[in-house]
Amino acid sequence: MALSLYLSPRMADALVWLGRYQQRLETMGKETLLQFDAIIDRVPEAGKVLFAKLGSQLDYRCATEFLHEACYGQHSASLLSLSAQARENAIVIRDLLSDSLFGSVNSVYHALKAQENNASLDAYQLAQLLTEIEYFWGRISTRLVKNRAAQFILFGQSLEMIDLKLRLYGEVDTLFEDAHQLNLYGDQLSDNWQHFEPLNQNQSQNMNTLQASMNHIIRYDR
Amino acid sequence: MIVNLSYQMTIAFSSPVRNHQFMLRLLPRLASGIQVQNQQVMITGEHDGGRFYDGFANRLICGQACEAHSSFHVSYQAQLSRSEAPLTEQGLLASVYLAPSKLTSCDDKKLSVFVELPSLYQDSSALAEALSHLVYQRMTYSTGSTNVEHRVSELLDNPVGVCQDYAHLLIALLRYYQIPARYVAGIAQGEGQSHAWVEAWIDNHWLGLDPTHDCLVNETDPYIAFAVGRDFSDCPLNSGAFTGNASHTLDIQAQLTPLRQNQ
Amino acid sequence: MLENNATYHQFFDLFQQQDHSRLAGFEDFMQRQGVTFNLYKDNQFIEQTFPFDAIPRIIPADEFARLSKGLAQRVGALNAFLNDIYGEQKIIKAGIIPPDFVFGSKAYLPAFHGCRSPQDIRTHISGLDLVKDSATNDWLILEDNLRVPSGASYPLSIRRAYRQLFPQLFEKMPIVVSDNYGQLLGSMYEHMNPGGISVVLSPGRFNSAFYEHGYLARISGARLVTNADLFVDNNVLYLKSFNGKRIRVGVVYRRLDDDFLDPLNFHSDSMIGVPNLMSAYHAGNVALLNAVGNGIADDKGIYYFVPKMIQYYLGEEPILSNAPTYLPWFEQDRKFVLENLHKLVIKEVAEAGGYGVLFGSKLTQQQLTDLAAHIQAEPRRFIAQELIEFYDIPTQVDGQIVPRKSDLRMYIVHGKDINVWAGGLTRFAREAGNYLVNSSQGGGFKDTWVMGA
Repeated sequence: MALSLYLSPRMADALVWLGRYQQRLETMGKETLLQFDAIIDRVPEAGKVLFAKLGSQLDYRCATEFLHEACYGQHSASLLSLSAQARENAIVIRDLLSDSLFGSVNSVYHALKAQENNASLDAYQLAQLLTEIEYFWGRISTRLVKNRAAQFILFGQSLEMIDLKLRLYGEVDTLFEDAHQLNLYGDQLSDNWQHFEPLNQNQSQNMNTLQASMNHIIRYDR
Repeated sequence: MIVNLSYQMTIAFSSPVRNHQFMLRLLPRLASGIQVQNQQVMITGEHDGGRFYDGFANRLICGQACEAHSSFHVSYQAQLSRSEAPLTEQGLLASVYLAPSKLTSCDDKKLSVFVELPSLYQDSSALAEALSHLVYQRMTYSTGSTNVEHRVSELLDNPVGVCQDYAHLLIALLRYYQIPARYVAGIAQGEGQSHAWVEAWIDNHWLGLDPTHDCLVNETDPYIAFAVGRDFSDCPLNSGAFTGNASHTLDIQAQLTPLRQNQ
Repeated sequence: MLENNATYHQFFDLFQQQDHSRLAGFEDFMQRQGVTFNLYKDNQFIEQTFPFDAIPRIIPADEFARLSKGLAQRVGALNAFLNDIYGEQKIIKAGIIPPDFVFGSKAYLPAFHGCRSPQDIRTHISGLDLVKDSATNDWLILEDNLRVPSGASYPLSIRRAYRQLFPQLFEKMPIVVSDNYGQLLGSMYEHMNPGGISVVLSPGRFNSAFYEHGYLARISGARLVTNADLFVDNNVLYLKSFNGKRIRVGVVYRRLDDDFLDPLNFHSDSMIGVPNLMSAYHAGNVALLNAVGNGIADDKGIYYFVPKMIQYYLGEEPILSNAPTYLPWFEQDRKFVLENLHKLVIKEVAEAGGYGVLFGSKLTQQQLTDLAAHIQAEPRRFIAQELIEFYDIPTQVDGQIVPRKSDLRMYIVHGKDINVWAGGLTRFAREAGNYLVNSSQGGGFKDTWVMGA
């Protein structure tokens, strides 16, 4: 429908951030499960190292406590907080999402929230929730016609993928495939998209270029 | 009556603003029997069009000045003549101006205590004039003591204010005596700034009353109406909204010069 | 008294055969889809699901046919009234409505006198509240909502879940499909549109009906926007596009009250309005749904006169009646009201949402005396109605099926034609014997099933 072309800066921004938070939630969820295993296997610092990369200081004594802190700790990278952010962005552009897409984002939040005061969320349940997020991506990419809203979400996903790889692993070599994806969506969304080329050495310059790239596709000021 | 009217309205902003949307009631109100010749209007950033009438038959200028600006100007010049026939407008029923309005509503009991009319009046005109005189006597003129949202209920406790407050108090009193009354904003000779007065619906025409100057407003007097309403809140001369964190001050400098009396 | 007809028997026969553990699916559905209304309680923002009861209100085909005619007639007359009040004011000049009832109302906006709504349609989306009187078995109109009637999204959303959870009921009973509401809105937009896209203008994410705003936008082919997405230039309304371009907007289904629409024309401190929106309206470049100033037609004081409007504007007898109503403003009515205060329902004209409603039978002698004094002092502020013993509908409470008072809001979409939607929001009181069904009073909702012939 032609209407899907008509998106304001606010809507485009919410779509991109929905994609970013969904991706961050998925990646951090998977990483949490990996570090959960590492802690069990007697690498007690593993979880702290992970979350420190996103600026969060975690405190725990065992794998279960780590899991709870990762999900519900008072820090901006907690899975509940990432999920709440994804949901807030989904709510304000509700009319652009199908029921199944919205339902997927919303149900992950409610599932996490429901366990908040019950220290018993286990790694198995978390793994289940991550499958729900995989469905989310699946539901976007199986649509016959990718509309503009989907392009913005996927743009956000690619952007976040690169951002996280830089933050978590600092590996520039693995970025070329993701950069290619990002440039593909950037070209679809803007005539003057400036291709993102990961630079070999300069980490902070990579990050800055990435952060500025949203301004190429969304004209915020009027 | 034929007059030359010119004015300069300036809104000065404390820092630059953008996306300034405005709605002005700064054109002579044709429905008040005014005819306009050789009119020149210049407005900061205005497009063509954007001239409408509101429900009170006031002329509106709607527009926007999008670029950053620190001051906003309207300059106006025209020759105006005013019909000397009694003002009998069609359009809104006069009873619209009978119900208490936002700024004039107040406790009837307090109003009745405030009035204490000395005697009975044989007709509505005499009553209206007496009420206007009463407002003039009881009010104390003082600029800066009230704001545009000042209400009659507050005036009854502390009868101090400017022409707008005089007008509101008189409107409340007239309505109390079941005389439809409306607020008039415009320019009067000798005022320099904008002025406010009152019209009362008596014997099927609008009778002009200026309680601030304790006089009637005759068709031959140099008063040019821009807007009427149930009270000020219906017809501000300027409404605006803008992007930017700025305070603003508004100034109107007007000159009203009689040319000659009609033959 | 419990409402009863053959279709309810058919429903219960089928319903009893169903797997009742599936009823939990409704709550799941509403939570997953975020079918909520928002509210503030103790300064905290809460998203709450609207309590739902699966036993529907059932309206037989012949009853719906009559309701349809009656509601379309009423909306037609109310539309004519609005055009008249903001135009020639003939009905006042003719002495049918005392001027005080129009001009003394805050909802009357003289600033928009003479400002015509495109195609002379003002009542685009109405929600009329009805109850079915158990004494006469007849429907009565309780209230007209012509400003921003809400609630249609709840029965619409739940119907989809219902069909998925209990398909047999829909296979075996001739229930008229209700999912055409979005199309009704969409074709009405098209009829009204002076050029451009359609938007649903919401006050924003924290508004109580935000879920509904997004839902209705999606099903009607409109974009959900807030004021930050829109701007006016040279008397044309535009949507800002992400790429710096602008897209013309022709239709605004606004979900905010007149007072907040445009800070230049209404409350100057409105942070949710669009400055100069009214210049686009004056210029005829945008259709506002519903029109500006409609509040005067659903004023409680004006309600009394709606049957007279039908006679005056349409030259027809009203098909649907008002609940018997008295205006203390008229001396004759005042006498009756004061003598019968103990058995009447007294409503304050300015209040809504079940507030300001007093049941004479529940007042003490002192309260009755005080109320009588109030009515005598300010008769214009009140209306009095006879207490309607409206039907209860079977309702599940804690696993038991019990009778509960229920009303019905029906939605009427007025574009090229006046269409009455074959669905509706049935609200029920949560406690036995309570007559107030408003959601603000803790009521719940049911689906409304219109039966096919």
